[in-house]
Amino acid sequence: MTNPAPEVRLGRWLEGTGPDSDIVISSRIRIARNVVGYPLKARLTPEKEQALCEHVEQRLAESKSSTPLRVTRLNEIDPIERLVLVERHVISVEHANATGRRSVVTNAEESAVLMVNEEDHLRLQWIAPGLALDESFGAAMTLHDSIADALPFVFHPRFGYLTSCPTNVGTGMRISVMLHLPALVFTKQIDKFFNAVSKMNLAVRGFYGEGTKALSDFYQVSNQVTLGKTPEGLLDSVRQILPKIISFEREVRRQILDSDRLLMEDKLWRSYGLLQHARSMTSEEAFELLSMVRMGVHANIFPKLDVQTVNQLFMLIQPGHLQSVHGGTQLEAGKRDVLRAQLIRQRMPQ
Amino acid sequence: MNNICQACKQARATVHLTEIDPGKSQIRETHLCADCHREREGGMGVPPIGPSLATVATVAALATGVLSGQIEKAEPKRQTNRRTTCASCGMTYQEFRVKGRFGCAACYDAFEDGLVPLLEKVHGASQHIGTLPKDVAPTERSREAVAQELADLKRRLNRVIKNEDYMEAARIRDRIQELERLQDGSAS
Repeated sequence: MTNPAPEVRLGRWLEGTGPDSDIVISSRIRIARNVVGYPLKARLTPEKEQALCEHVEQRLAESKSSTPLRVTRLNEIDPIERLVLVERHVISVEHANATGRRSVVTNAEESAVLMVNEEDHLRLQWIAPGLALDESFGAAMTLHDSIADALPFVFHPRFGYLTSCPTNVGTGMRISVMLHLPALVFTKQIDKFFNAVSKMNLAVRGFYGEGTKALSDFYQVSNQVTLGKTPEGLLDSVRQILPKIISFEREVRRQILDSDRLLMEDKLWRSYGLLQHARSMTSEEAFELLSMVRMGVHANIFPKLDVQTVNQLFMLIQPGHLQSVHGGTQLEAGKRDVLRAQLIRQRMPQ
Repeated sequence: MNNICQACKQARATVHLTEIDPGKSQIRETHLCADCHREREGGMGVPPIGPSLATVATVAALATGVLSGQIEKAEPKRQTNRRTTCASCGMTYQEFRVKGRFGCAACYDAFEDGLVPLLEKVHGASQHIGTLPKDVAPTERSREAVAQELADLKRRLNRVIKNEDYMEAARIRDRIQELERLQDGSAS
C-alpha cells in the first residue's frame, strides 16, 4: 500500500486532470504590470520597495478578488522555503534569489499567484491543469481587472502597459503551456517540435521558465512577442500549434508501443522497478524514470499507479521539498538521494 | 560564475545560450560577450552547432546581452546617443543598453527614437493594440486597435459559448459593449 506520509499539499495544476492531460501538464497566463507612482525595478530604492510592497499588499487585501488571498513575505522566510516555492512554480528563480522587500500572494490552491516586486511591480498569473487556456485566460483577466480597479497600472498610448524590460511591453502577457513529450525525445524527433514552434514565432522554455534548463522531457511553449497583438490574438497564436504537437506526440507513443511492445514494456517496467526498489537516487535519475513511468500510466501499462501520484512525485523529490519535509534543514546531496529514494518507495504502489 | 565570456575570458558575458541536445537530453550552456557571440554567429572559424542541437536563446539573454547587440544593429548611427538621459530618473541610454531594463515610465519617452526600431525587431510592432485601462479612451491612433480587439473578442465569444462557459461569455460581452461605447464616443 502507498504510505501517505509525509503529507504536502500541492497546487491544483498538478492534479493530472484536465483536457489532454496525457501530454499537457498545465496552461498558464502571466501578466506583467507596474504601478503608477513608483519607479521601475532598476530605480527602486529599499525604501521605495518597502512602500511599494505595503501599498500593493494593502490594495490587494481591499480588492474585490473572489478568492481569499494569502501573503508571504519572501524576505522573511527561510531560503529552503523559497526554493519550495520555486519548485512549485509559485515564484521565479530571480524572485527567490533577489534581496530586499518582496512578497508573493496566492489563493489556497495556488492557481492564482501574484509576485510583488519581481522584475515588474506585479506579475500575476493563473495556472490550470491540462489544456485549459480559456479557463486560465478568463480567470487571469478577471483577476487583473479586479486588481486594476484598486491599483492604477502604468499605461502608454503607444507602447501599452509599460514593463521593466521592453521584451514584455504592450500586453505584458505571457501564455505558457507545459508539455510532456517523452516519445518525441525518445525517438529523437524533438527537433521537429522545436522547428514547428519557432516557425510559428513562439518560444520553447525549460521546466522553470525563462532561461532554465529543459528538465527531462518537459517543455514550455509560449508566445515570443507581447506587443502589437491583442491578448486574444496571442492566445490564438499559442492555441493554434497545440493540436498538431499533441497528436504528433500521441501518434509516436502509439507507434513505439506497437512496433515493439515487449521492448517498450520492458523499458517501462524497469523504470517502475527502479522507482519501487532503489535505495539512493539523484533528482536527474528520478525525473527520467518518472517521465517514462508517466508515459506508461497513460498507456495503461501500470494498473496500480495513477497519474496524480506521478505528478506529485515530480514535485516532492526536488531538493527544496525534500529538505522542507525533513525539518527545513540543509541536507547534503548524498543524504538527499537516500531520502528521495525512500520517499518514492513509500508512494509507489508495491 | 557565468559573468566572464567563455571565449575571450576577458569581457563580461552578456549572451547566455542554452543548447538542448534532445537525443541525449543534454543541456549545454554557453556564456559569451557580445563581440564573441557576433563572431560565433558569423561562423568565423568556430564550428557550427551540430544539426541535432536546437539553440534556444533565452528571454533573459535576449533582454540583457542580445538585446544590447540588437539596439546597436537596429539603430541608425545618427540616433545613437549614449548620453541621452531620462530627465525623470536619471537613467542614461548607455545604462539601459547594459542592463536591458528601464528605470521608470518616462524612459520610454526619453529613449523613444532608439526604442522604436528595437521594438520593431523584437515584436514586429511598435504600437500596442488590445486591452486599454478603463479610464483611457481610444485615441485616433488606436482606433484600428480597438476594431482589432473587438474582432478578436467576438471570435472568442463564439468559442466560449460553444464550450458553454457562460460566466466568461458574460465578461466578454461586457467588454465588447464597453469598447463599442468607447468607439461611438470617440467617433462623435
